[in-house]
Amino acid sequence: MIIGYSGEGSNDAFVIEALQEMWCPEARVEVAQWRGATGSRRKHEIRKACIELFEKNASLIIFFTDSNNRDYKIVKRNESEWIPDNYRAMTIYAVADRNIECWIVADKEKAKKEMGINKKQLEGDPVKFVNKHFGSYRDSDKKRKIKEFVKSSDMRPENSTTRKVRKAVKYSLTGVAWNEEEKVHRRADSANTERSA
Amino acid sequence: MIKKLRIQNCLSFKDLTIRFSRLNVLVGENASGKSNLCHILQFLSLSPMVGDLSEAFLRAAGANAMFNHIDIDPEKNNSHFNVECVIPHNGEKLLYTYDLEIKRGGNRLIGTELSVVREKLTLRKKTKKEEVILFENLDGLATILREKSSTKRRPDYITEKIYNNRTMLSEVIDSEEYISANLFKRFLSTIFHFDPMLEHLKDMTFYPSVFFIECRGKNLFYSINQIKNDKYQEYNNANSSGTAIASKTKSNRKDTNELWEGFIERIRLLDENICDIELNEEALRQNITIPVFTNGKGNRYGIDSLSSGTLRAMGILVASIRAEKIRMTIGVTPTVSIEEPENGIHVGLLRMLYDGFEKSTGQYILTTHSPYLIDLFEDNLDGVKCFKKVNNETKLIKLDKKRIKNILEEMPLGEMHFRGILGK
Repeated sequence: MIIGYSGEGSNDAFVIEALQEMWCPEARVEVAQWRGATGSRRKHEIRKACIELFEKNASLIIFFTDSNNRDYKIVKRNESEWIPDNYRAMTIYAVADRNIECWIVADKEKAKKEMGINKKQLEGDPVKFVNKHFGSYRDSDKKRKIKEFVKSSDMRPENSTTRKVRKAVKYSLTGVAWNEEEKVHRRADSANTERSA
Repeated sequence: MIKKLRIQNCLSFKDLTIRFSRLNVLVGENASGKSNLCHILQFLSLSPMVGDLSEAFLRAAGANAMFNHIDIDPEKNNSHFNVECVIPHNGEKLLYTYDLEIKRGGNRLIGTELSVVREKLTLRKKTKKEEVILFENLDGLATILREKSSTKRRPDYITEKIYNNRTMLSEVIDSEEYISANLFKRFLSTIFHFDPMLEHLKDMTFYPSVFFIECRGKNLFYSINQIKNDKYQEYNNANSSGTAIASKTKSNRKDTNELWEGFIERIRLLDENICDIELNEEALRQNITIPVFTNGKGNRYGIDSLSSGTLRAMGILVASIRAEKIRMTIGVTPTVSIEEPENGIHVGLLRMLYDGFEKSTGQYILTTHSPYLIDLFEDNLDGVKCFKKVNNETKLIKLDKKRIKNILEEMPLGEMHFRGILGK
């Protein structure tokens, strides 16, 4: 099985690959090319990535992007409209509330233990802690480190039944929520993650 | 024009058959075998000219290339080449098939010892069905057809012993007796690979033994000077004969002027200052080529005022004009392979280069990584050859034209290449 993927940054790709290795070890992730900066020309590139990944025999296409300072629901609604109708059925458009780094530190106990950051620090932007801990993009070992971290966090389904996966994902994702409103957001996103898995 | 080439067990090719159009573009990732194909074509071109096979391979592919030979199939020492060509001559289309099998022997100081195992040249005229064996060479023992004394009922073959470190083709002389074999030899000698290097393009030394702008752009300005002055005699000088075929197709002064004007016109698209190029005659007498450029105001300036991109484009334009010149001079349409012609040239001018190749009568084999250059082949999908390296072996990926035409509605051809879906 080939999982097509198009994302915004290297950390996003590492997380997707870690999830794939955990949940679909028999699958292969095919990353779509992106012409130009990943933040720009999204409308055109999403369309072309769909064609590319379909032509590369992907069974499923995952778009993954950070919402950053925007409301993730609005980002998702606006950008998923750019997926051509004939690829919609095989496409998941996932938007991380804030950014993927929030997901990496979803297991706050692990984050506290390994990265030495406490809950209060997590309430801010975790990007700087993640980059400091795993190294810059120039660090060739960064991919392995992030993948191992994600795999060994509480996001991992211990027994691969759908129910337990859902429970594990919900637990880990709601664990980093900062307030009640965000809890709702993360639960909504976790459903997407489960489907992509 | 080369119609088909089969390569077995050489460089990165285990067994590859490729059919060519008039305009071809070789695409693929780095180290997928694009340049290797050009090197093999150049080897085939040089083998009858240089004589010694090892020397020809060395000049075409470099000293280390033979080590790749070992990589591809260590059990086999022999390489096999099969070329099918169509050469129009005297209003007739001649179909040649040249078969060459060579054997790798011991190592030399530089490169590897190569010898001929088997060599055969056959000719079939499009109007006739039968095939004529022009010569056959088995391990140094060759039988050659003497065409002049042959009759329809009794072909006149003579037997000769030749050194097996050179091909029979290199021994064919330019005379009426071997006119068909010699025509093919002439065609092979017109194949050349152009991989321009800036330092060679700027090199002011004139190398009398180097044909045109072979060797990565040496003798560029000498070639330009010859286009201008209609003194295009290198081929004949180098071959010291050139009577049987060349005398029938003399170049025409009017055509030459048109070529020169077309050249300057296209150069002015790159650099509008250039109105004329001439060589310092005093320096030329001492085998030094010092180009002097003249702008619209009549001011003269030197090569250092030229941008490197303009210089490269000049080399490529000369390569395309050279093809036309050769056709006019010796009546054979040449095959030219050019390594990444897009380098250093503004993307907007690639169309101009492509048009130059299209208008010229030669056959072109371009290698490229530029999606913009690939885009220009949208109407010529037969000319797009997509290479892929699988387990260290170059494979030619067959293009699904129907599928590509459907995707063309969504994205250009070059982008398909960029996204890796061109030769899926």
